Amino acid sequence: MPLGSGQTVLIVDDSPVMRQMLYKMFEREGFRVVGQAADGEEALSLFELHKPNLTTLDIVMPKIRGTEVLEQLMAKYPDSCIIMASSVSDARTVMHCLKIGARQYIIKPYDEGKVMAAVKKALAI
Amino acid sequence: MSVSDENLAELFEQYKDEVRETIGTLDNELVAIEQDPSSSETIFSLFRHMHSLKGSSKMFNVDNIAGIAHRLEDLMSMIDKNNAILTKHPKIIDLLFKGNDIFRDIIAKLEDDISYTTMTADHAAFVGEIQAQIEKINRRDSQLVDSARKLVEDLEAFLPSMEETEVEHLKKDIQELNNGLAIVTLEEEGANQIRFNYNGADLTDDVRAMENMLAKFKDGKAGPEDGRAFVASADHLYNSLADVATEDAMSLIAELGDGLSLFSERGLEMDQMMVEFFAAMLQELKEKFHVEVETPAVKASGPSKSQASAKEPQVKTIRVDEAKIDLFLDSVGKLITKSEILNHLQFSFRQAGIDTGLLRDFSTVSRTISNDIVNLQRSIMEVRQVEMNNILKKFPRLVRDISHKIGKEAEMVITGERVPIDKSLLDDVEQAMVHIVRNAVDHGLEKPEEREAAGKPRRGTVNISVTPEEASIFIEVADDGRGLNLEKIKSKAVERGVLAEEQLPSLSDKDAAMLIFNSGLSTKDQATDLSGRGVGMDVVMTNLKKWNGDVLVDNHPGRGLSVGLRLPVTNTLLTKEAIMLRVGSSTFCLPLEFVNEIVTVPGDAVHHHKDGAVFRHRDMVISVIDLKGLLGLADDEDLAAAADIPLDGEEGLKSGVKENAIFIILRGKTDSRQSIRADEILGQQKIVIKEFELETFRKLPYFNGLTLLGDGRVVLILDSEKLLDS
Repeated sequence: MPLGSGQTVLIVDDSPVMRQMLYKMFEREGFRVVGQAADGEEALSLFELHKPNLTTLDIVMPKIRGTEVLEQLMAKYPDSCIIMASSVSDARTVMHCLKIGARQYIIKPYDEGKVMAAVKKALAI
Repeated sequence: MSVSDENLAELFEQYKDEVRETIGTLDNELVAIEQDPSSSETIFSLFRHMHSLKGSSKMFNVDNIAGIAHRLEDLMSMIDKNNAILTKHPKIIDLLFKGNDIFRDIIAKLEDDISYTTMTADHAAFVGEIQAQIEKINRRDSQLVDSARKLVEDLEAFLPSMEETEVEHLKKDIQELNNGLAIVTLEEEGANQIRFNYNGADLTDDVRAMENMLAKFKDGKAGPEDGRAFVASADHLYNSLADVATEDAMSLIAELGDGLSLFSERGLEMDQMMVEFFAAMLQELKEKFHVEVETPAVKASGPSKSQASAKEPQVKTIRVDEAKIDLFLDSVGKLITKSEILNHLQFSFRQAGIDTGLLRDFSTVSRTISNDIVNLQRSIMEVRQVEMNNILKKFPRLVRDISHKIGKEAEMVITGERVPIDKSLLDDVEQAMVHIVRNAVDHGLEKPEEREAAGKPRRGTVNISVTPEEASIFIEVADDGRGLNLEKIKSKAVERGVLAEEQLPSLSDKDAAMLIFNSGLSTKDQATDLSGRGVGMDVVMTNLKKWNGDVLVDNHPGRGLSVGLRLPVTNTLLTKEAIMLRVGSSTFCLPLEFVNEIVTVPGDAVHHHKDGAVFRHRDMVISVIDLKGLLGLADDEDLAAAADIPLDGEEGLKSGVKENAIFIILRGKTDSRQSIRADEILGQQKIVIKEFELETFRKLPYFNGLTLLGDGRVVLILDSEKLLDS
């Protein structure tokens, strides 16, 4: 049974290969990827456009950092479901993101199992 | 439920492309940061690229790149927090350049050996170098701490002799300074046991217990009870610290507590992420204790190496293999030939007197098909295009390396990175540009002192601009150096036997400048390792000619040299417009681009010498290449005519024997005045060039391929360059 039943997903990562990898994972699980953003600015405007059910958010990106994107989104849409997916593993950042409202935080490298486990938990909250 | 093998193998190609691109960007940013070490924007960008490189390399288990990028990321992160570091330690930039070269090397080796993903001794040594640099920077900081501490001690010694209130005041200050410096005692018990104390509380057991459990989690040997035990230890640590900690340590401990509750609240499992999180947390706590302990390297639980490197056919990819496009183009080529058959049929129908209405329909259909095919070909050609940036991004680095090596200052200015170019041209264009740019820095630009003396800025400029034109692109490499010394080039050309002394007076400045591309003259720097290929300029130029490229030189003595390359946007090798001509009883075709003009000359205007024939056209004397002689063609008619020709010098006119003759004046690299004679021009059509597949044919001296005509005949294609050289 695929996890997603047409729920919309926005993927945010500055690396095309990472986006492609997440895209494949989500499509395979029955999600609908409605947007892929390569930087923070794009992430904000694509979020406004699609209001996705789920967003995966990288942190170190050009223009606006992921943490700032998270802050802005949480301020405006406190119920949005955001999973941080980054290779930033420093305790402070992880904690900060979880504290201000990220549902889950996965650290690169991740695989499909880990991503989907986080998705499951994030959507269940 | 994991990324399946073939998906990963497919993404691996994309990963390598991405790393290659990052390497190019890094090169340019490094050149930029060298010129302006305080640019925080560039520093952050460098940090970000190292970070991404680490992240994606970890994902594909390319441990060597991940490891090096990780260390360089640490270094960049330090610089990001304090820009002044780069100014104080300029060697860091060399280190970063070296790192980028190692990345490049690894990616190249991965092409042949997909298991080249582990750290070699060299890689480890390089990581050590980075580590040493980081420590060097840190030492500076700890020196600061030491001197602050010394100050505190001195003040304490001085205290007894001071007034009471002042003493209280100072004591408070010292206390704060002490707290700020996170005064922590560290005592050693035995040789290898380090104990952790914080303001009198012994935390060693908690820290050790947590470390042991983290190790278990890392090995995947931990069960649910270990998770609970871990949380208990962390809790205990938190409580012990809470009693004794100073304010700044408290905030860290509060974070640890928050972390614990957040994790249990969100239902996060004790997976690799938790391990990393708490490892980082512990590391931070230990740093508060001033105990240097290496962060445990967490082994990726991602897909295994053999999966990532599996060499499987990439069936699902949307990246298209270049060979497949070529195959497709080949089919389009065949279609073009087929549509020529339609044209031929149309011609035959008309000859046979077929009903005109029917013929009109047929020709409409035939024309539509032909147009569709041309469009099809054009769009597939566009698929093959890539941006010029693919080549251009390496030049700032190249210019930097050369100028550093020879003690010059040079700046690279590039415009037109996004102009498209056919992918198949990339390698040859790049080779040519490397030569030209290298020459510009090596020979064109003067040394800084010399430039100053000439009233120029110390730093020279090499300007690359790419301009799209209608069917071609124009690449110009211009420097503001000394320009060419044509007299010196000329005398060198004579000295080396490239030119005869008596040729000099008639040599135009333009032709003299072109001598720099002559293999006999451009030998000086061929042995250097800067281009790394050892291909001579003459070879490079021949390669460009192959693509119908053109080279232009614009020399301004004392002010600089500009070398221009004009290239077709698409690879036009495959189909060309050509004229069909009959010579004797043979049919040949000649691509239109080699035709300057087709002229009809009265038979008596052609003068036959013993060395050949010439005729006069628009005040120019045009010589006639003896095609029949060269190709060994003879037909009876011609032989008979030849017998009548009195071959006795300039007066040897052959008059009134023949009617008008047709000459095709060829287009060559210089103002060519040569022509070939055709007995008949049969028409003009689109031909699909087939290169000779058999070695025997490739040796044919005056042809460069063959084509299939609409009526099924095979016709050889004349090679104008070789004819001109004959």
